[in-house]
Amino acid sequence: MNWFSDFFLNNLWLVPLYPLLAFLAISIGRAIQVTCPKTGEKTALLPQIFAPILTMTATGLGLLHAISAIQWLFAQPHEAVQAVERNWTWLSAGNLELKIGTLLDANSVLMLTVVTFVSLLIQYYTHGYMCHDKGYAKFFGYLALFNFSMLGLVLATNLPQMYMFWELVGVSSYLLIGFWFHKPAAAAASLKAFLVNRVGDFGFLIGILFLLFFSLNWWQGYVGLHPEQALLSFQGFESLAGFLSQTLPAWLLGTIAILIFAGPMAKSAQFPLHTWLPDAMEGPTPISALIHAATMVAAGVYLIARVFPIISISPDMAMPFITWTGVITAVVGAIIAVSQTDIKKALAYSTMSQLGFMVAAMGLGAYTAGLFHLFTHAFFKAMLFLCSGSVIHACEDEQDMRQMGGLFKKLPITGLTYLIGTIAISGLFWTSGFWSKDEILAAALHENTAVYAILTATAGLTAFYMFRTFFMTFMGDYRGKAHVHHEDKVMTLPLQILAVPSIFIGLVLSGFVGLPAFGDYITYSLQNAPEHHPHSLLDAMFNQVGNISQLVALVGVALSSAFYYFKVFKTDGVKKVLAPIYNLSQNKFYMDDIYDGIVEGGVLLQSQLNAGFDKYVIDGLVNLVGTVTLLLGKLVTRLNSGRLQTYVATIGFGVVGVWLLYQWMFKG
Amino acid sequence: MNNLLPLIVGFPFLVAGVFPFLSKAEDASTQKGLHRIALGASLVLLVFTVVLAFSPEAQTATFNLSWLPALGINFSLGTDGISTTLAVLTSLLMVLATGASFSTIEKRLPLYYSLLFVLIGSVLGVFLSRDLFLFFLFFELELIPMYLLISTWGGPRREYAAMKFVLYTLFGSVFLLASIIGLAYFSQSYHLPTETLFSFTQLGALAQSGYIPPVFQLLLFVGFFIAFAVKLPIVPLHTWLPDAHVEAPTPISMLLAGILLKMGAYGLLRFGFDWFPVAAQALAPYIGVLAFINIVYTGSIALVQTDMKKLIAYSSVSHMGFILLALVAMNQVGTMAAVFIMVSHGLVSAALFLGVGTLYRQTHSRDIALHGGVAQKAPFIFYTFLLMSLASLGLPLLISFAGETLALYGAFISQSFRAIPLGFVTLPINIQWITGLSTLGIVLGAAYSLWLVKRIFFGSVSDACQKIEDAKLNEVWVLGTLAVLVIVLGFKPQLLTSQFESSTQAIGKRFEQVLVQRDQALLQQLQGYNPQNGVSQNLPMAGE
Amino acid sequence: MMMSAEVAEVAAVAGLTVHHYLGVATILFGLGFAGVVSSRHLIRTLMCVELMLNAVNLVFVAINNHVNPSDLSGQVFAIFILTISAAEAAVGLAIVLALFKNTASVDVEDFSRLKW
Repeated sequence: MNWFSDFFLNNLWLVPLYPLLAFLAISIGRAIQVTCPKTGEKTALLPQIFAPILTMTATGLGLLHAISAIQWLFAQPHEAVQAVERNWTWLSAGNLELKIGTLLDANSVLMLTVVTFVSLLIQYYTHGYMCHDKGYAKFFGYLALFNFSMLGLVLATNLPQMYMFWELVGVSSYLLIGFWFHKPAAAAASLKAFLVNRVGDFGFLIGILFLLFFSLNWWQGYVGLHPEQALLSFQGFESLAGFLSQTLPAWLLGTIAILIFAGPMAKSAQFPLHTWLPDAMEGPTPISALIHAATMVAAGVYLIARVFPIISISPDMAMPFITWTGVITAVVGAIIAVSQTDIKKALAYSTMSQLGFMVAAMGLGAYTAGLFHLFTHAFFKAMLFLCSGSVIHACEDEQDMRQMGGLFKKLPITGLTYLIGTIAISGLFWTSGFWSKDEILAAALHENTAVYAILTATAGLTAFYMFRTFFMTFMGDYRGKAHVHHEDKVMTLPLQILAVPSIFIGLVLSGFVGLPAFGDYITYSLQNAPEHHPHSLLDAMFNQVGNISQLVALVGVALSSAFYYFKVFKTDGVKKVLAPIYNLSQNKFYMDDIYDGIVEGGVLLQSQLNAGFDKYVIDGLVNLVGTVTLLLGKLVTRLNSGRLQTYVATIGFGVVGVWLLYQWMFKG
Repeated sequence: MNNLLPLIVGFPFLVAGVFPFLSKAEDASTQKGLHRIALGASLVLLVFTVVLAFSPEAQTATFNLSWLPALGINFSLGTDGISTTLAVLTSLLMVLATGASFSTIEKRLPLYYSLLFVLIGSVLGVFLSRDLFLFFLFFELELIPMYLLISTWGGPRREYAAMKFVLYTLFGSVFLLASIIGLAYFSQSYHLPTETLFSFTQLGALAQSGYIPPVFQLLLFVGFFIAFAVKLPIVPLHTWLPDAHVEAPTPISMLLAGILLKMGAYGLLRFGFDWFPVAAQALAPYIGVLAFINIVYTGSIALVQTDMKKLIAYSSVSHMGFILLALVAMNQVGTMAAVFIMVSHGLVSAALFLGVGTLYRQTHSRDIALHGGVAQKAPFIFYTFLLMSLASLGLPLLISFAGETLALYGAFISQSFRAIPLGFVTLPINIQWITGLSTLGIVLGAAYSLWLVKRIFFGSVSDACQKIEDAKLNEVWVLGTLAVLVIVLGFKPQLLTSQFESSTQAIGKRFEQVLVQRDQALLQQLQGYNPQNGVSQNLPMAGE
Repeated sequence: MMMSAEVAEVAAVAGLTVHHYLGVATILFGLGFAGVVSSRHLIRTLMCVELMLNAVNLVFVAINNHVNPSDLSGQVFAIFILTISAAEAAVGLAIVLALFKNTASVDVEDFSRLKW
């Protein structure tokens, strides 16, 4: 079997290629119509059922690569993982050579595993969820396109390649959010998602240009020493950071880091560029699970991890900026999630809040903690979304939790897995969320007490709103009108599989069960990073932090059950007492209104002014030149009166005039 | 002597001469025949240019015929990487425009095709001529068929639009002619051989040599610049373009956006920047500002258009701003980016105009508000239009991305100017600032492209679009060809860049040399004040 | 018939210089010009044109006598002009007659149709 895993390991470039081929085969095969010779009916060249087969085969092959990569990773001493980089030239111009390649290291193995594993499960789920949709095959095509871009992003060796696939991921997300484009809300949401991301990418691109501008010569020397590496290869970032910190002033370093961070801000739905994520729930639920919870939105955190050396050289500017962006996002997301009645929107805001945790961890320098949370979050959040999809499917496309209730009896597996997910995200009972979230909290306590306090409170809020959704959906009496179907086996199988890592993966990788801890592999390249807490210190704090956070979460659960299960308290009274916060939450902090104002009152108004200027001033001037010419012509023709005597008089006086002029000029 | 060159330029004129003698009957079968003859002829032309592009002489072919020796005018043709690439693009778009004509042009076909071939012949002449007078001749000749094509087959305001197009271009031609005469004057005053008075090599060498006094270099450059600024177009000389595009029939819009604008870009690169690099770098700050205005100002105008064709027309102007930015960068990357965008925009904008044309053919309206939900009715049009919109906004792995990225990158690392002198005050805005601000164009590009897609294709089917059908066969293969090219060249841009890499590198190196010389001179000037001369101690060094 | 030189002698005896001739010619020309410009009757206009022509003739003859009396080119010119003016008068009067026949008017103001 050795050559087999060698093949998978050495040909990582195939990983994005499989889904790309699947996508091309599906799109071409569905586009070409053939006439059946027997019946004379027109059908697509590729029967519908081949779409999921192709897509899932592609993802499955990717998973095999991922498994062999895990083997490779575990076979190495964790303090000295040797990354493997391979590059191919994509475009060269002048002194610039852009390369595309595959980078195999702990980070990419981690993401590769998450993406292929979760993708495969969700694709299987999709087969059940979308089977009645007429865009069934197309949906699988788009899923394959998404996998292509996401895997290309995961394996990217350098920042420009990351940017390319970053954009492609964005466009896959655009296509999938707008999958039901006949619905105006979906069309608007897809456009919004793409544009908000473009705003972030605007900063990201300028950041890349800055990096190239300041380091091109240095890079060329560096790549000269390491011929296998590309320009702006992640492997050289550590050295690059050293070079930049010596040559550039601190404010410039901070600016560059923050510009690059603008990309993750949009993609990972950080405040204030988060508004697209809740709207993106207009897409089909498997998409919400895959793209807008588990993988794509986490790409922002992944990017921060990749460029972390650049960020870490600006400890006074970029890192606090990132931390506080994350903290604000975590708080805002949690507060908004409390008042949501749409189950998917509530989960979306919860995703936003959790992403805030990860980003805050990055900003604190707790690089591995952030990635760890990304990793565990991918499993339980994907599972939660898939559960919500199962519920929505069973309730005939009802998403409002006020129209649900008591669904546990009808949907036992869904209910149970949802409960597991809820416990995991609340960080209770040593489930996976507990380990990763508490690692972030421990780091926060170590770095900044204020951040720690806020994040712990937010964790309590998380437990409150997540249990609220659970109670509203699954407990009590059924309040809706729709007939509830039974759950679909195709859809519950992925839930059951995902429940396993949701519970155990945190414990397994926590370092407490004999296996090497998650972080040990990840930190390989970050000797200079400010992180790297001594393990003893971490452990000492861990119990304390863990106990406090579990306590806070339990308070959240208790309050939630008091409100929504036992109905001891009435929500109306609390709404009145907390009216200002409730209004903020209900109106999503007015961010959408602010943006509408900016777009309509700023951008579109300015554009209208420009258009008016173009039409009336610039083109007006052009037309004026034409009109003036015509008028002058008409004016001159008036001199031609047809009166003989006027002509004669003009000639006569003209001659005299010329004579006088001559006298005056040359004689006088 | 390469005999393929006169064939490429002459063949369209030959075909144009034959068409008037063909049947003028307007019944369906005759029309079909005429369309097919035209398609066949343009395919032959495409084969000629492709053979040229893949021949060993692709970069070096020349053809010379003495024409008016007394005046120093020769019928002289030649190629380099840029010319060959643009010639292939021209003949390819001619094939596609002919294909698009199948379903859009129904009256007076012999005249139509005759004019179309004259147009293509003169455009090919522009790209391939190696004699400045011949270039001017072809440059002007192209106006006549274009005027007639717009004013005969165009929309309701066709005569206004056609007249505006011609007068605008002629306005620029005045400056072009003045610069040509000025160059010839200097050529004679230095007693260069008069029998090749107008040859590119001779005039180019003279212009680059620096023997022409700086003031006149500046004047000659400005003359060329204004002429091609009209064609490109550059704000504020752009207002002919939206009108011409809106009124022109679909195939003509395709050619107008796809090729005619590239004549401006080509001229700017070859005569403006390459021949007068010193003048160009002196004016670079102002041209850089113009490029920024082109990108962002017209991009924002495109955002609020209510007319589909006008929107795409303004987006074309915006993309031409990227070409200008790439030229202003004055380095190898920028020069390459400029040529790359010429090709990528040629393909993408042609496809966008055809996509809109297929809708216009059916709804007879260009008003965006009247359209809606077309995606449900016409999936093929939707998917190709979406693909082209994504390409137009610069999605990676589609053709425009490489060009725009190279342009931004090239401009960002450029040293072409470090401040904008305004006479009374010097603004501390360097090309990096201009480039950073121009990057806003990618946000605007996404906004207007995808908003257009959303309004036309998404949502519920509007009343006007109830009867829309999918693309006809001819439109399918035209759009399909473009889609394949956009994807393949997007995945592997080196297929394209290898065609013109050496030529643009040569030009780019000359630019870089000029910038280096300028900086050295600046350095010497500053060192003139140095302690040894006892004037000043603390002057900043150039290049900081 | 006196020779041109004798005329000059007589003139000199009478105290007439070339300036006197030119003065008369100028006055004549001015009168003719004024007539052409101001008169509204076509016949009178034609007559005034004749007056101007005669003024020119006078200048020719006078200058000829003043500059080179032995040469007769000035006189020859004058004869030429007389011939031409006779022809011109004939054509002009014919046109006037034709106009009168068509429009029953000889007022110059009525004939301004020959314009843009």
